Amino acid sequence: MNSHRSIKFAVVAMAAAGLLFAGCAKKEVVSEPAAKPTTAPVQKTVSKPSTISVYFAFDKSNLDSASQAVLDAWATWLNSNSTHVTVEGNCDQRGSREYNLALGQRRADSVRDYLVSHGVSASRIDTVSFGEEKPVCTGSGEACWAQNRRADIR
Amino acid sequence: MRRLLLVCCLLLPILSHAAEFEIYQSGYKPLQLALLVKSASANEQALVANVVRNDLDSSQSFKAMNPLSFLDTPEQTWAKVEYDDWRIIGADTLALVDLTDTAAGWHAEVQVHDPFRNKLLSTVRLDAPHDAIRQLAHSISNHIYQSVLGIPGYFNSHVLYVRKHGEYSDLIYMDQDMANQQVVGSNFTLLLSPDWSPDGQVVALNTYVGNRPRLEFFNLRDGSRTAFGNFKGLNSTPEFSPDGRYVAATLSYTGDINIYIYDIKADHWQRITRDTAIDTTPTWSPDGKQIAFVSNRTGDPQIYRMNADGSDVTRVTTIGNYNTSPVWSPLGDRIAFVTKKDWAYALATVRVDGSDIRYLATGQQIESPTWSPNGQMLMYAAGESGIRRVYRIPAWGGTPEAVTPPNIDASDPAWSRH
Repeated sequence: MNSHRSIKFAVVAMAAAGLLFAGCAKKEVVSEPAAKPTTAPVQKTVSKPSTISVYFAFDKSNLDSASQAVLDAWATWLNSNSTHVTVEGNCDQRGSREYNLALGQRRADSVRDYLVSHGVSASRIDTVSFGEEKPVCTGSGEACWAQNRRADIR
Repeated sequence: MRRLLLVCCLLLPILSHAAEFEIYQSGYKPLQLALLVKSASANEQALVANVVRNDLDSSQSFKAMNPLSFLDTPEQTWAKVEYDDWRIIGADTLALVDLTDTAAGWHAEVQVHDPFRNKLLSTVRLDAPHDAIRQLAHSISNHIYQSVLGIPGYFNSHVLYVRKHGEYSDLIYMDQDMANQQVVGSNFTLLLSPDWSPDGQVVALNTYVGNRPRLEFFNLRDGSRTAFGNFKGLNSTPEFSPDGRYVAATLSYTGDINIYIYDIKADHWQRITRDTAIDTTPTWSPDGKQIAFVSNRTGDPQIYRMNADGSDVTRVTTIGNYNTSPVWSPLGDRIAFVTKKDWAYALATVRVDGSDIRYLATGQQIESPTWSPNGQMLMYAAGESGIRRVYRIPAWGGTPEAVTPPNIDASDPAWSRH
Protein backbone atom coordinates (compact mmCIF):
# COMPACT_ATOMS: atom_id res chain seq x y z
CA MET A 1 0.00 0.00 0.00
CA ASN A 2 2.72 2.40 1.05
CA SER A 3 4.93 1.66 -1.90
CA HIS A 4 1.90 1.98 -4.17
CA ARG A 5 1.13 5.34 -2.66
CA SER A 6 4.71 6.60 -2.97
CA ILE A 7 4.74 5.63 -6.61
CA LYS A 8 1.55 7.59 -7.00
CA PHE A 9 3.06 10.62 -5.30
CA ALA A 10 6.10 10.45 -7.50
CA VAL A 11 3.87 10.29 -10.52
CA VAL A 12 1.84 13.26 -9.36
CA ALA A 13 5.05 15.20 -8.69
CA MET A 14 6.28 14.37 -12.12
CA ALA A 15 3.00 15.40 -13.63
CA ALA A 16 3.12 18.68 -11.75
CA ALA A 17 6.65 19.28 -12.88
CA GLY A 18 5.52 18.48 -16.37
CA LEU A 19 2.84 21.14 -16.14
CA LEU A 20 5.27 23.67 -14.72
CA PHE A 21 7.59 23.16 -17.65
CA ALA A 22 4.82 22.67 -20.11
CA GLY A 23 6.92 24.17 -22.86
CA CYS A 24 9.36 21.28 -22.85
CA ALA A 25 7.21 18.56 -21.32
CA LYS A 26 6.72 15.41 -23.30
CA LYS A 27 3.22 14.02 -23.47
CA GLU A 28 4.21 10.46 -22.59
CA VAL A 29 5.44 11.55 -19.16
CA VAL A 30 1.99 12.76 -18.19
CA SER A 31 -0.05 9.98 -19.70
CA GLU A 32 2.19 7.11 -18.68
CA PRO A 33 0.96 6.48 -15.07
CA ALA A 34 -2.54 5.57 -16.18
CA ALA A 35 -1.07 2.54 -17.88
CA LYS A 36 0.25 1.03 -14.65
CA PRO A 37 -2.61 0.35 -12.21
CA THR A 38 -1.63 -2.68 -10.22
CA THR A 39 -4.25 -3.81 -7.78
CA ALA A 40 -3.51 -7.51 -7.53
CA PRO A 41 -0.69 -7.38 -4.98
CA VAL A 42 -2.47 -4.68 -2.98
CA GLN A 43 -5.71 -6.60 -2.46
CA LYS A 44 -4.31 -9.00 0.12
CA THR A 45 -3.39 -6.24 2.56
CA VAL A 46 -6.38 -3.94 2.02
CA SER A 47 -7.89 -2.75 5.28
CA LYS A 48 -11.09 -0.82 5.82
CA PRO A 49 -10.49 2.90 5.21
CA SER A 50 -10.41 4.88 8.43
CA THR A 51 -11.77 8.05 6.80
CA ILE A 52 -15.51 7.65 6.48
CA SER A 53 -16.50 11.20 5.48
CA VAL A 54 -16.22 13.27 2.34
CA TYR A 55 -17.08 16.97 2.31
CA PHE A 56 -18.92 19.33 -0.02
CA ALA A 57 -19.24 23.03 -0.82
CA PHE A 58 -22.47 24.88 0.03
CA ASP A 59 -25.39 23.78 -2.18
CA LYS A 60 -23.06 21.43 -4.11
CA SER A 61 -22.93 17.67 -4.48
CA ASN A 62 -19.86 17.26 -6.70
CA LEU A 63 -16.76 15.45 -5.40
CA ASP A 64 -13.45 17.29 -5.23
CA SER A 65 -10.08 15.56 -5.60
CA ALA A 66 -9.69 15.05 -1.84
CA SER A 67 -13.06 13.29 -1.73
CA GLN A 68 -12.18 11.19 -4.74
CA ALA A 69 -8.97 10.06 -3.00
CA VAL A 70 -11.02 8.95 0.03
CA LEU A 71 -13.49 7.15 -2.22
CA ASP A 72 -10.72 5.47 -4.21
CA ALA A 73 -9.62 3.81 -0.97
CA TRP A 74 -13.21 2.74 -0.30
CA ALA A 75 -13.59 1.38 -3.82
CA THR A 76 -10.42 -0.63 -3.40
CA TRP A 77 -11.61 -2.01 -0.11
CA LEU A 78 -15.13 -2.77 -1.33
CA ASN A 79 -13.71 -4.50 -4.39
CA SER A 80 -11.67 -6.75 -2.13
CA ASN A 81 -14.64 -8.05 -0.11
CA SER A 82 -18.42 -8.33 -0.30
CA THR A 83 -19.48 -5.90 2.43
CA HIS A 84 -22.68 -3.88 2.15
CA VAL A 85 -22.44 -0.14 2.97
CA THR A 86 -24.81 2.77 3.53
CA VAL A 87 -23.90 6.26 2.38
CA GLU A 88 -25.50 8.99 4.51
CA GLY A 89 -25.81 12.45 2.96
CA ASN A 90 -25.86 15.51 5.23
CA CYS A 91 -26.06 19.30 4.93
CA ASP A 92 -25.25 22.28 7.09
CA GLN A 93 -28.15 23.95 8.83
CA ARG A 94 -28.37 26.91 6.51
CA GLY A 95 -31.04 27.07 3.87
CA SER A 96 -34.23 25.16 3.45
CA ARG A 97 -34.64 21.94 5.43
CA GLU A 98 -36.78 20.38 2.72
CA TYR A 99 -34.35 21.32 -0.03
CA ASN A 100 -31.47 20.12 2.15
CA LEU A 101 -33.08 16.68 2.38
CA ALA A 102 -32.89 16.49 -1.41
CA LEU A 103 -29.37 17.92 -1.47
CA GLY A 104 -28.22 15.35 1.12
CA GLN A 105 -29.67 12.61 -1.12
CA ARG A 106 -27.76 14.08 -4.06
CA ARG A 107 -24.53 13.96 -2.03
CA ALA A 108 -25.11 10.35 -1.02
CA ASP A 109 -25.98 9.48 -4.62
CA SER A 110 -22.84 11.09 -6.02
CA VAL A 111 -20.72 9.03 -3.60
CA ARG A 112 -22.58 5.91 -4.66
CA ASP A 113 -22.19 6.75 -8.35
CA TYR A 114 -18.45 7.28 -7.91
CA LEU A 115 -18.03 3.92 -6.17
CA VAL A 116 -20.15 2.22 -8.85
CA SER A 117 -18.00 3.79 -11.58
CA HIS A 118 -15.02 2.24 -9.79
CA GLY A 119 -16.39 -1.24 -9.99
CA VAL A 120 -18.55 -1.59 -6.87
CA SER A 121 -21.96 -3.12 -7.49
CA ALA A 122 -24.81 -0.65 -6.89
CA SER A 123 -26.75 -3.36 -5.08
CA ARG A 124 -24.17 -3.23 -2.28
CA ILE A 125 -24.65 0.48 -1.61
CA ASP A 126 -27.64 1.98 0.16
CA THR A 127 -28.13 5.72 0.32
CA VAL A 128 -30.01 7.83 2.83
CA SER A 129 -30.29 11.58 3.38
CA PHE A 130 -30.64 13.20 6.77
CA GLY A 131 -30.63 16.72 5.31
CA GLU A 132 -29.57 19.10 8.04
CA GLU A 133 -31.11 16.98 10.80
CA LYS A 134 -27.95 15.22 12.01
CA PRO A 135 -25.18 17.80 12.32
CA VAL A 136 -21.88 16.64 13.83
CA CYS A 137 -21.16 20.24 14.78
CA THR A 138 -24.04 22.22 16.22
CA GLY A 139 -22.42 25.65 16.41
CA SER A 140 -22.33 28.23 13.66
CA GLY A 141 -19.57 29.56 11.45
CA GLU A 142 -17.98 28.08 8.36
CA ALA A 143 -15.60 25.81 10.34
CA CYS A 144 -18.64 24.13 11.84
CA TRP A 145 -20.86 24.19 8.76
CA ALA A 146 -18.10 22.67 6.62
CA GLN A 147 -18.05 19.60 8.89
CA ASN A 148 -21.78 19.14 8.42
CA ARG A 149 -21.76 19.27 4.60
CA ARG A 150 -20.67 15.68 4.25
CA ALA A 151 -21.45 12.15 3.24
CA ASP A 152 -20.53 9.33 5.61
CA ILE A 153 -19.94 5.76 4.52
CA ARG A 154 -20.97 3.21 7.12
CA MET B 1 -13.84 58.63 16.69
CA ARG B 2 -12.20 55.32 17.40
CA ARG B 3 -14.88 54.49 19.90
CA LEU B 4 -17.57 55.34 17.38
CA LEU B 5 -15.93 53.03 14.86
CA LEU B 6 -15.85 50.24 17.40
CA VAL B 7 -19.53 50.69 18.13
CA CYS B 8 -20.28 50.58 14.41
CA CYS B 9 -18.28 47.38 14.03
CA LEU B 10 -20.15 45.78 16.90
CA LEU B 11 -23.51 46.78 15.51
CA LEU B 12 -22.76 45.72 11.98
CA PRO B 13 -23.31 41.96 12.35
CA ILE B 14 -26.56 42.57 14.17
CA LEU B 15 -27.90 44.93 11.56
CA SER B 16 -26.58 43.05 8.56
CA HIS B 17 -29.43 40.51 8.32
CA ALA B 18 -32.06 43.17 8.02
CA ALA B 19 -29.84 45.23 5.74
CA GLU B 20 -29.97 42.58 3.01
CA PHE B 21 -33.69 42.92 2.50
CA GLU B 22 -36.03 45.83 2.31
CA ILE B 23 -38.80 44.79 4.65
CA TYR B 24 -42.26 45.35 3.19
CA GLN B 25 -44.31 47.99 4.98
CA SER B 26 -47.97 48.15 4.09
CA GLY B 27 -48.59 51.42 5.92
CA TYR B 28 -51.66 49.81 7.47
CA LYS B 29 -52.56 51.12 10.91
CA PRO B 30 -54.48 48.72 13.15
CA LEU B 31 -58.10 49.70 13.80
CA GLN B 32 -58.73 50.90 17.35
CA LEU B 33 -61.15 48.41 18.90
CA ALA B 34 -63.41 49.16 21.86
CA LEU B 35 -64.60 45.81 23.20
CA LEU B 36 -67.36 45.67 25.81
CA VAL B 37 -68.32 42.32 27.28
CA LYS B 38 -71.05 42.12 29.87
CA SER B 39 -72.10 39.05 31.78
CA ALA B 40 -73.48 38.04 35.17
CA SER B 41 -70.58 35.56 35.34
CA ALA B 42 -67.44 37.54 36.12
CA ASN B 43 -64.94 34.76 35.32
CA GLU B 44 -66.40 33.98 31.92
CA GLN B 45 -66.81 37.69 31.18
CA ALA B 46 -63.06 38.18 31.76
CA LEU B 47 -62.16 35.01 29.86
CA VAL B 48 -64.17 35.91 26.76
CA ALA B 49 -62.91 39.50 26.80
CA ASN B 50 -59.30 38.29 27.04
CA VAL B 51 -59.60 35.71 24.29
CA VAL B 52 -61.32 38.11 21.87
CA ARG B 53 -58.90 40.94 22.63
CA ASN B 54 -55.90 38.64 22.20
CA ASP B 55 -57.26 37.18 18.93
CA LEU B 56 -57.90 40.54 17.33
CA ASP B 57 -54.65 42.09 18.63
CA SER B 58 -52.62 39.16 17.36
CA SER B 59 -54.05 39.62 13.85
CA GLN B 60 -52.41 43.08 13.91
CA SER B 61 -55.51 44.27 12.05
CA PHE B 62 -56.93 45.61 15.32
CA LYS B 63 -55.58 47.19 18.49
CA ALA B 64 -57.77 46.68 21.54
CA MET B 65 -58.20 49.89 23.52
CA ASN B 66 -57.80 50.18 27.25
CA PRO B 67 -61.30 50.07 28.82
CA LEU B 68 -60.20 52.83 31.23
CA SER B 69 -60.52 55.28 28.32
CA PHE B 70 -64.18 54.38 27.70
CA LEU B 71 -66.71 57.13 28.53
CA ASP B 72 -69.74 54.81 28.70
CA THR B 73 -70.38 51.62 30.67
CA PRO B 74 -71.43 48.36 28.97
CA GLU B 75 -74.92 48.78 30.43
CA GLN B 76 -75.32 52.34 29.06
CA THR B 77 -73.99 51.25 25.68
CA TRP B 78 -76.27 48.24 25.41
CA ALA B 79 -79.19 50.57 26.20
CA LYS B 80 -78.12 53.16 23.59
CA VAL B 81 -74.93 53.55 21.57
CA GLU B 82 -73.68 57.15 21.75
CA TYR B 83 -71.42 57.21 18.68
CA ASP B 84 -69.97 60.61 19.71
CA ASP B 85 -68.60 59.09 22.92
CA TRP B 86 -66.73 56.42 20.93
CA ARG B 87 -65.53 58.73 18.16
CA ILE B 88 -64.07 61.15 20.69
CA ILE B 89 -61.79 58.48 22.13
CA GLY B 90 -60.85 57.32 18.62
CA ALA B 91 -62.62 53.94 18.53
CA ASP B 92 -62.75 52.75 14.90
CA THR B 93 -64.73 49.67 15.88
CA LEU B 94 -67.10 49.17 18.80
CA ALA B 95 -67.94 45.56 19.65
CA LEU B 96 -70.59 44.69 22.23
CA VAL B 97 -70.93 41.22 23.68
CA ASP B 98 -73.67 40.08 26.05
CA LEU B 99 -72.81 36.69 27.50
CA THR B 100 -75.45 34.64 29.33
CA ASP B 101 -75.35 31.25 31.01
CA THR B 102 -78.28 29.09 29.86
CA ALA B 103 -79.27 25.51 30.60
CA ALA B 104 -77.97 24.45 27.19
CA GLY B 105 -74.66 26.31 27.45
CA TRP B 106 -73.29 29.79 26.80
CA HIS B 107 -75.25 32.25 24.71
CA ALA B 108 -73.69 35.39 23.25
CA GLU B 109 -75.32 38.35 21.56
CA VAL B 110 -72.83 40.35 19.53
CA GLN B 111 -73.13 43.78 17.93
CA VAL B 112 -70.44 45.42 15.85
CA HIS B 113 -70.60 49.20 15.27
CA ASP B 114 -68.62 51.69 13.22
CA PRO B 115 -68.76 54.92 15.29
CA PHE B 116 -67.28 57.03 12.47
CA ARG B 117 -70.12 56.02 10.16
CA ASN B 118 -72.78 56.03 12.91
CA LYS B 119 -73.56 52.54 11.81
CA LEU B 120 -74.44 49.14 13.22
CA LEU B 121 -72.42 46.80 10.98
CA SER B 122 -73.87 43.50 12.19
CA THR B 123 -75.52 41.53 14.93
CA VAL B 124 -75.24 37.83 15.63
CA ARG B 125 -76.36 35.29 18.23
CA LEU B 126 -73.91 32.50 19.05
CA ASP B 127 -74.30 29.42 21.26
CA ALA B 128 -71.81 26.93 22.62
CA PRO B 129 -71.78 24.07 25.12
CA HIS B 130 -70.52 24.89 28.59
CA ASP B 131 -67.14 23.29 27.94
CA ALA B 132 -66.56 25.24 24.73
CA ILE B 133 -66.40 28.81 25.93
CA ARG B 134 -63.02 29.47 24.31
CA GLN B 135 -64.39 28.31 20.93
CA LEU B 136 -67.35 30.63 21.50
CA ALA B 137 -64.94 33.51 22.15
CA HIS B 138 -63.04 32.66 18.93
CA SER B 139 -66.35 32.65 17.03
CA ILE B 140 -67.05 36.13 18.43
CA SER B 141 -63.60 37.23 17.20
CA ASN B 142 -64.37 35.77 13.76
CA HIS B 143 -67.62 37.69 13.65
CA ILE B 144 -66.06 41.02 14.60
CA TYR B 145 -63.17 40.49 12.16
CA GLN B 146 -65.45 39.62 9.25
CA SER B 147 -67.95 42.41 9.99
CA VAL B 148 -65.25 45.06 9.82
CA LEU B 149 -62.77 43.69 7.29
CA GLY B 150 -65.08 41.64 5.07
CA ILE B 151 -62.69 38.68 5.33
CA PRO B 152 -63.44 35.44 7.21
CA GLY B 153 -61.62 35.11 10.53
CA TYR B 154 -59.25 32.25 11.36
CA PHE B 155 -59.58 32.26 15.13
CA ASN B 156 -61.05 28.77 15.49
CA SER B 157 -58.14 27.22 13.57
CA HIS B 158 -55.37 25.03 14.99
CA VAL B 159 -51.65 24.67 14.58
CA LEU B 160 -49.33 21.67 14.71
CA TYR B 161 -45.62 22.00 15.30
CA VAL B 162 -42.67 19.74 16.00
CA ARG B 163 -40.83 19.81 19.31
CA LYS B 164 -37.42 18.18 19.14
CA HIS B 165 -35.65 16.91 22.24
CA GLY B 166 -32.40 15.05 21.78
CA GLU B 167 -32.89 12.32 19.18
CA TYR B 168 -36.67 12.43 19.35
CA SER B 169 -39.44 14.63 18.08
CA ASP B 170 -42.99 15.16 19.31
CA LEU B 171 -45.97 16.45 17.38
CA ILE B 172 -47.69 19.24 19.32
CA TYR B 173 -51.23 20.49 18.70
CA MET B 174 -52.53 23.85 19.84
CA ASP B 175 -55.24 26.36 19.10
CA GLN B 176 -54.02 29.25 16.94
CA ASP B 177 -53.80 31.41 20.09
CA MET B 178 -51.41 28.90 21.74
CA ALA B 179 -54.06 27.63 24.16
CA ASN B 180 -54.93 23.95 24.56
CA GLN B 181 -51.41 22.61 23.88
CA GLN B 182 -51.33 18.82 23.59
CA VAL B 183 -48.69 16.28 22.65
CA VAL B 184 -50.56 14.29 20.00
CA GLY B 185 -47.65 12.13 18.84
CA SER B 186 -44.40 11.43 20.63
CA ASN B 187 -40.95 9.90 20.17
CA PHE B 188 -40.71 10.07 16.40
CA THR B 189 -37.16 9.62 15.11
CA LEU B 190 -37.11 12.87 13.16
CA LEU B 191 -40.41 14.38 12.13
CA LEU B 192 -40.49 16.70 9.16
CA SER B 193 -43.01 18.58 7.04
CA PRO B 194 -46.30 17.71 8.79
CA ASP B 195 -49.33 18.71 6.70
CA TRP B 196 -53.04 18.63 7.69
CA SER B 197 -55.57 16.86 5.58
CA PRO B 198 -58.30 19.33 4.54
CA ASP B 199 -60.78 17.64 6.93
CA GLY B 200 -58.36 18.08 9.84
CA GLN B 201 -58.40 14.37 10.79
CA VAL B 202 -55.07 13.17 9.41
CA VAL B 203 -51.53 14.53 9.19
CA ALA B 204 -49.15 13.51 6.40
CA LEU B 205 -45.55 13.60 7.58
CA ASN B 206 -42.00 12.48 6.88
CA THR B 207 -40.33 10.42 9.61
CA TYR B 208 -37.48 7.92 9.86
CA VAL B 209 -37.85 4.31 10.92
CA GLY B 210 -34.64 2.28 11.26
CA ASN B 211 -32.68 5.20 9.79
CA ARG B 212 -34.83 5.16 6.63
CA PRO B 213 -37.11 8.02 5.66
CA ARG B 214 -40.73 7.31 4.93
CA LEU B 215 -44.05 9.04 4.52
CA GLU B 216 -46.82 8.32 6.98
CA PHE B 217 -50.39 9.26 7.67
CA PHE B 218 -50.78 10.09 11.34
CA ASN B 219 -54.38 9.83 12.54
CA LEU B 220 -55.11 12.65 14.98
CA ARG B 221 -58.10 10.84 16.49
CA ASP B 222 -56.49 7.56 17.49
CA GLY B 223 -52.77 8.23 17.03
CA SER B 224 -52.36 5.39 14.52
CA ARG B 225 -49.56 5.59 11.94
CA THR B 226 -49.80 4.23 8.39
CA ALA B 227 -46.84 4.26 5.98
CA PHE B 228 -47.79 5.26 2.44
CA GLY B 229 -44.39 6.13 0.95
CA ASN B 230 -41.51 3.81 1.73
CA PHE B 231 -39.23 3.82 -1.31
CA LYS B 232 -35.49 3.56 -1.73
CA GLY B 233 -33.99 7.02 -1.26
CA LEU B 234 -36.03 10.13 -0.46
CA ASN B 235 -39.62 10.08 0.77
CA SER B 236 -40.20 13.70 1.72
CA THR B 237 -42.29 16.90 1.69
CA PRO B 238 -45.87 15.55 1.58
CA GLU B 239 -48.72 17.99 0.92
CA PHE B 240 -52.42 17.11 0.59
CA SER B 241 -54.29 18.32 -2.47
CA PRO B 242 -57.06 20.80 -1.57
CA ASP B 243 -59.75 18.12 -2.10
CA GLY B 244 -57.86 15.66 0.11
CA ARG B 245 -57.73 12.93 -2.58
CA TYR B 246 -54.01 13.16 -3.33
CA VAL B 247 -50.69 13.82 -1.65
CA ALA B 248 -47.85 15.41 -3.62
CA ALA B 249 -44.36 14.49 -2.37
CA THR B 250 -40.72 13.99 -3.33
CA LEU B 251 -39.28 10.55 -4.19
CA SER B 252 -35.90 9.52 -5.61
CA TYR B 253 -36.09 5.75 -6.15
CA THR B 254 -35.38 6.10 -9.88
CA GLY B 255 -32.09 7.83 -9.08
CA ASP B 256 -33.51 11.28 -9.89
CA ILE B 257 -35.23 13.48 -7.34
CA ASN B 258 -38.72 14.22 -8.63
CA ILE B 259 -42.25 15.26 -7.67
CA TYR B 260 -44.83 12.47 -7.48
CA ILE B 261 -48.54 12.39 -6.68
CA TYR B 262 -50.06 9.69 -4.51
CA ASP B 263 -53.71 8.76 -5.12
CA ILE B 264 -54.89 7.84 -1.62
CA LYS B 265 -57.91 5.76 -2.60
CA ALA B 266 -56.16 3.88 -5.40
CA ASP B 267 -52.91 3.54 -3.35
CA HIS B 268 -51.01 4.52 -6.47
CA TRP B 269 -48.02 6.84 -7.11
CA GLN B 270 -47.59 8.79 -10.31
CA ARG B 271 -44.43 10.58 -11.38
CA ILE B 272 -45.02 14.24 -12.32
CA THR B 273 -41.59 15.80 -13.04
CA ARG B 274 -38.93 14.04 -15.09
CA ASP B 275 -35.75 16.09 -15.19
CA THR B 276 -32.45 15.06 -13.61
CA ALA B 277 -32.13 18.08 -11.29
CA ILE B 278 -33.52 18.28 -7.75
CA ASP B 279 -37.31 18.83 -7.81
CA THR B 280 -38.87 19.00 -4.35
CA THR B 281 -41.34 20.69 -1.97
CA PRO B 282 -44.54 20.55 -4.04
CA THR B 283 -47.41 22.83 -2.98
CA TRP B 284 -50.88 22.88 -4.54
CA SER B 285 -52.77 25.90 -5.81
CA PRO B 286 -56.09 26.20 -3.93
CA ASP B 287 -58.07 25.04 -6.98
CA GLY B 288 -55.85 21.92 -7.17
CA LYS B 289 -55.00 22.58 -10.82
CA GLN B 290 -51.38 23.65 -10.37
CA ILE B 291 -48.37 22.72 -8.26
CA ALA B 292 -45.48 25.01 -7.32
CA PHE B 293 -42.16 23.42 -6.36
CA VAL B 294 -38.43 24.01 -5.99
CA SER B 295 -35.98 22.95 -8.67
CA ASN B 296 -32.26 23.55 -9.14
CA ARG B 297 -32.48 22.79 -12.88
CA THR B 298 -30.71 26.07 -13.70
CA GLY B 299 -28.00 25.46 -11.07
CA ASP B 300 -29.50 27.00 -7.96
CA PRO B 301 -32.82 26.47 -6.23
CA GLN B 302 -35.70 28.46 -7.70
CA ILE B 303 -39.48 28.23 -7.50
CA TYR B 304 -41.47 26.96 -10.47
CA ARG B 305 -45.10 26.16 -11.09
CA MET B 306 -46.73 23.67 -13.43
CA ASN B 307 -50.05 22.05 -14.15
CA ALA B 308 -50.78 19.19 -11.75
CA ASP B 309 -50.11 16.72 -14.60
CA GLY B 310 -46.56 18.10 -14.95
CA SER B 311 -47.17 20.11 -18.11
CA ASP B 312 -46.40 23.77 -18.73
CA VAL B 313 -43.55 24.35 -16.24
CA THR B 314 -43.04 28.09 -15.62
CA ARG B 315 -40.34 29.69 -13.50
CA VAL B 316 -41.78 31.93 -10.76
CA THR B 317 -38.80 33.46 -8.88
CA THR B 318 -36.22 35.37 -10.89
CA ILE B 319 -34.52 37.46 -8.21
CA GLY B 320 -31.81 35.92 -6.01
CA ASN B 321 -29.99 32.61 -6.26
CA TYR B 322 -31.62 30.67 -3.41
CA ASN B 323 -35.41 30.54 -3.28
CA THR B 324 -37.00 27.58 -1.50
CA SER B 325 -39.87 26.23 0.66
CA PRO B 326 -42.81 27.48 -1.44
CA VAL B 327 -46.30 27.39 0.06
CA TRP B 328 -49.23 28.47 -2.10
CA SER B 329 -51.61 30.92 -0.39
CA PRO B 330 -55.16 29.67 0.20
CA LEU B 331 -56.27 32.81 -1.70
CA GLY B 332 -54.28 31.63 -4.72
CA ASP B 333 -52.65 34.93 -5.62
CA ARG B 334 -49.31 34.54 -3.84
CA ILE B 335 -46.70 32.00 -2.88
CA ALA B 336 -44.81 32.30 0.42
CA PHE B 337 -41.20 31.15 0.32
CA VAL B 338 -37.81 31.44 1.97
CA THR B 339 -35.04 33.35 0.22
CA LYS B 340 -31.35 33.84 0.95
CA LYS B 341 -29.05 36.73 0.19
CA ASP B 342 -25.43 36.83 1.43
CA TRP B 343 -26.21 34.43 4.30
CA ALA B 344 -29.24 36.30 5.54
CA TYR B 345 -32.59 34.63 5.12
CA ALA B 346 -36.01 36.14 4.64
CA LEU B 347 -39.59 35.01 4.66
CA ALA B 348 -41.13 36.49 1.53
CA THR B 349 -44.20 36.26 -0.67
CA VAL B 350 -44.39 36.68 -4.43
CA ARG B 351 -47.27 36.85 -6.90
CA VAL B 352 -47.66 33.62 -8.84
CA ASP B 353 -46.42 35.44 -11.97
CA GLY B 354 -43.15 36.23 -10.15
CA SER B 355 -43.82 39.93 -9.60
CA ASP B 356 -44.06 42.08 -6.47
CA ILE B 357 -41.84 40.26 -3.96
CA ARG B 358 -42.53 41.26 -0.36
CA TYR B 359 -39.88 40.51 2.26
CA LEU B 360 -41.65 40.09 5.58
CA ALA B 361 -39.09 38.92 8.16
CA THR B 362 -35.37 38.21 8.19
CA GLY B 363 -32.98 36.15 10.29
CA GLN B 364 -30.10 33.68 10.52
CA GLN B 365 -32.42 30.78 9.82
CA ILE B 366 -35.98 30.99 8.51
CA GLU B 367 -37.97 27.94 7.47
CA SER B 368 -41.31 26.18 6.95
CA PRO B 369 -43.85 28.94 6.22
CA THR B 370 -47.55 28.06 6.64
CA TRP B 371 -50.63 30.18 5.83
CA SER B 372 -53.62 30.89 8.03
CA PRO B 373 -56.81 29.49 6.46
CA ASN B 374 -57.89 33.00 5.35
CA GLY B 375 -54.53 33.83 3.77
CA GLN B 376 -53.95 36.87 5.99
CA MET B 377 -51.30 35.49 8.35
CA LEU B 378 -48.19 33.34 8.14
CA MET B 379 -46.37 31.26 10.70
CA TYR B 380 -42.78 30.11 10.22
CA ALA B 381 -39.89 28.75 12.27
CA ALA B 382 -36.86 30.93 12.89
CA GLY B 383 -33.62 30.02 14.61
CA GLU B 384 -31.28 32.35 16.37
CA SER B 385 -28.15 30.89 17.97
CA GLY B 386 -29.42 27.36 17.62
CA ILE B 387 -32.86 27.83 19.24
CA ARG B 388 -35.84 27.59 16.93
CA ARG B 389 -39.19 29.17 17.69
CA VAL B 390 -42.40 29.48 15.73
CA TYR B 391 -43.42 33.03 14.81
CA ARG B 392 -46.57 34.61 13.40
CA ILE B 393 -46.70 37.63 11.11
CA PRO B 394 -49.37 39.27 8.92
CA ALA B 395 -48.91 38.37 5.26
CA TRP B 396 -49.33 42.07 4.44
CA GLY B 397 -46.36 43.06 6.63
CA GLY B 398 -46.09 43.63 10.35
CA THR B 399 -44.21 42.56 13.41
CA PRO B 400 -43.13 38.93 13.98
CA GLU B 401 -44.44 37.55 17.27
CA ALA B 402 -43.18 34.32 18.83
CA VAL B 403 -45.89 31.74 19.49
CA THR B 404 -43.70 29.07 21.12
CA PRO B 405 -41.64 29.50 24.29
CA PRO B 406 -37.85 30.05 24.13
CA ASN B 407 -37.03 26.95 26.18
CA ILE B 408 -38.12 24.37 23.58
CA ASP B 409 -36.87 23.64 20.08
CA ALA B 410 -39.96 24.25 17.92
CA SER B 411 -40.15 23.89 14.14
CA ASP B 412 -42.35 22.84 11.22
CA PRO B 413 -45.55 24.75 12.04
CA ALA B 414 -48.59 23.58 10.08
CA TRP B 415 -51.78 25.64 10.16
CA SER B 416 -55.06 23.77 9.82
CA ARG B 417 -57.01 24.45 6.62
CA HIS B 418 -60.13 25.63 8.45
